[in-house]
Amino acid sequence: MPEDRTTQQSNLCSLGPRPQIMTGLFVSLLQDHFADADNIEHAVFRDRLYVAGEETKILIEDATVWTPDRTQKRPAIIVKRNAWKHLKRYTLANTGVTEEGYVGHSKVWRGSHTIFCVAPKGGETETLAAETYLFLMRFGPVFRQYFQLLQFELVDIGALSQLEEDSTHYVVPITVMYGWDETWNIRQHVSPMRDVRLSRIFSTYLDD
Amino acid sequence: MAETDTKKPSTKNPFLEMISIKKWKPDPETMDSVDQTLKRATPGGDAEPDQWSKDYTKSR
Repeated sequence: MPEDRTTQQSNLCSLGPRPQIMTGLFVSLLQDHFADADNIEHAVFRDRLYVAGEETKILIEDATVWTPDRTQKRPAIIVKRNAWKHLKRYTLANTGVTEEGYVGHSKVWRGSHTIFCVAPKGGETETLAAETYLFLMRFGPVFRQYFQLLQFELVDIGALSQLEEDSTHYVVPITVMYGWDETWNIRQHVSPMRDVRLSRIFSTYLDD
Repeated sequence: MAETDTKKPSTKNPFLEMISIKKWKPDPETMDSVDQTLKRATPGGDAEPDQWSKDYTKSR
């Protein structure tokens, strides 16, 4: 395959990180990784490939649609977004003046997702976790650059545990954090406060 | 029949913790550590309001 020397533009550019997009990103990356035997380091998963639909031999999906009975006897990877946190301000009001003279606004964020590797056997779960965390760790720098994040890093691989939602399955949680900053300008043509009147505010509290 | 014979064996592995996907939260110490790293590594310094107020007062 020829080397790609074009500037890679992230599809996130137009929208920026949003909860559903980041979850979809993790799900898509993992589905692509587990869809091709040539990608997979651990031989046990080379014949349990991901395919779209119910016939997949490894279930990879968002935690909001997953239910324990969907896993059945196959391994599964469940992706769940954790809380996001506004991390720091550049100035007290998060503002600065742009080169064009507009007041620019900025916020720095930190988010994280946990990828739960689930399987009916403990050893299989550990192997699935290894395949998953190695993929995320090794390609993390590419994802960080491509998606224009400040940071993208594997930070935690939890202990092998039993799954509370289905005690016949084991689970290893893998957490990835990422940081980014959002900047925007407000070019006011009309005051957004023009319709805010005291009579409207106090109407809620008026006796009938 | 002895009473213990009628009990069903536990399905919980005595050597492993139980994790709930529903209740699970990332380790706060780990997240605090990455927060500090990200704060230090981004430009502008850590302009927390308290520190900003102190610096502002001092400068006057």
